Amino acid sequence: MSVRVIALGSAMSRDDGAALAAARALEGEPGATIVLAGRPGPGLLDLLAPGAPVVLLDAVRGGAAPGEIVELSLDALARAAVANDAVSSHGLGVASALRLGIALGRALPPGRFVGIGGARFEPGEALSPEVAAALPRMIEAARAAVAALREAAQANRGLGPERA
Amino acid sequence: MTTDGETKETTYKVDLLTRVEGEGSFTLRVKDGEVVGAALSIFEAPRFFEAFLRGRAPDETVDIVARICGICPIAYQVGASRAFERAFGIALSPPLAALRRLLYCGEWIESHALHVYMLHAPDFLGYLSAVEMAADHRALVERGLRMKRAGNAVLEHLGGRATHPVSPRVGGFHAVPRRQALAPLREELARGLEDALETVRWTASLDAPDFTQDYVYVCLDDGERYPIEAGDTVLFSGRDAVSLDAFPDVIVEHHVEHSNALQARLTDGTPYLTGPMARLHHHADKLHPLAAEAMREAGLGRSENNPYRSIVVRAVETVHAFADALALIDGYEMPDAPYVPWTPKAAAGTGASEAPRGLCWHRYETDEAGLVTDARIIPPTSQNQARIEDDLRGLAPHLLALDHARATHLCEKLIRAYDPCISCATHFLDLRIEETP
Repeated sequence: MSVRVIALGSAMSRDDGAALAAARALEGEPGATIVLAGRPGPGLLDLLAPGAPVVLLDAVRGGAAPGEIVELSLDALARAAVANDAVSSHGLGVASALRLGIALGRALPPGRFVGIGGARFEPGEALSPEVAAALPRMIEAARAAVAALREAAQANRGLGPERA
Repeated sequence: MTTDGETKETTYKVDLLTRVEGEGSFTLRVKDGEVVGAALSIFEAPRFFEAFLRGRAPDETVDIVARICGICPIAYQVGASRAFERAFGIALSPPLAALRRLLYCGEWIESHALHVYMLHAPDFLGYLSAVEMAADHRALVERGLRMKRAGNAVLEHLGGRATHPVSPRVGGFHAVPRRQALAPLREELARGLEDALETVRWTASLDAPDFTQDYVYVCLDDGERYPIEAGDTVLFSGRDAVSLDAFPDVIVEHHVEHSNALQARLTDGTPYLTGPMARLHHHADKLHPLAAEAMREAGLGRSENNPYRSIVVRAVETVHAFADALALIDGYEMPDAPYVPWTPKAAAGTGASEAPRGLCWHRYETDEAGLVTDARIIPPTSQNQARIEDDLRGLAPHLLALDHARATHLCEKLIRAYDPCISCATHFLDLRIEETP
């Protein structure tokens, strides 16, 4: 059972690239399939499959201090009020995309959201110091989420833990 | 609404426009029936990129400009590629040129489908967002998403991925597909074409406010073809055409106090329109026969001058893009080489393409090593911004008989008709966790 790790953001908008950087660090991780999705908007729904566990990684601009790690269930994320929820479908955010899926009758897959508060989002490649310092914690949180989802999937199938 | 003595001033204002790309606001002030202010305030990202591009190599530039917009990266990549190709004297082989057009068709499809169904349709059907609309119109939204997925599939096959494609480069592509690799696209595009034809019929049935304007229509000329990825001449309705190099000589970009974006006008101060309605005006006779037939059935004339009907024009262009893409796949021959080799040198060149929302013009200068010393990009939304403000002024008399909320919505709907791509900043997630029971 592989967990799909979907990283959102743009590497050319400074801290918006944090999730992509975290996902790259997880490449080769046993049981994880990495998808660098960029800003898929509603296309995020095409990356989700019913019953297929997923970890969503993204940068958070508001509601989290720079470098703060935010962990939520997908259900909680979909129910979270998002300040600019209806601002754009071009950039339909992760919460809005999940809500769109629910409205279309699609069940959310089992999954976790791991976000990191960003400080700077202007064009540029360098992460801000707070975000760069916190990146290892985001990677660990994502790694733990992958492990937990694999364990849950195995338990649901009545299997014991897989051997490494 | 304010009343001051014997005068009466009404302000229509939205501080944060929804369902546009980026953060913007508008204010329309009407005093005693006269417009005293119309302002579309926007934040424009590409300006930051121009400085960011200095010192970069051409292919690096092509990669970077893809990040200007998450929804139309190909427009920026092709515009930049064409500018360098024109500067360095590179001519694409016919198969490479066909592949570039096919890639661009994918972008038109996904962008137009997104705008028609996710951005503009809620205005016509009375919803605040596509998410709300989806609950009541599931089949409709699924059709839009299906079409968008077909466009994305083209981008993924040819560009390496749908968001910020990595395959395009100056002179062609880093890699090109074998003929059989395109076969899976055909079925999806054929289904998409049927969806697109249905979309024209559906959009034509929507009630559009009775509102027309006189426009100067501006778009590329690509000879016998409907302009998408190429064209070395810019057409102006009622005025002389100019070369790409001369384009900056006939327009003026200027800063307005209420907006971060530069506004473009013709040198005599006239605002102009770029995008689907402009393309239709100049090139309706070059539409694919299926799109031309759909246009006739929809009752569209070639000079559509009601911006609220742009949703129908966009749908017609989507039919054209699907049909064109299918024809390109059927006629595809794998190029002998994925790109035309070239040597960097000191040069200057202009390039442009028709982004889904209008003309996107580029100019680059390079040094002897081929590194960018100067970059200039004129994106479509900054060109349409002054035209949008004039439309708002023209709309004012129609608003006076309406209640304030309805009048304000009519203004928003008008702005959204332009599919403005204000910035790509709105991806960012502003979380406010409010647990509901």
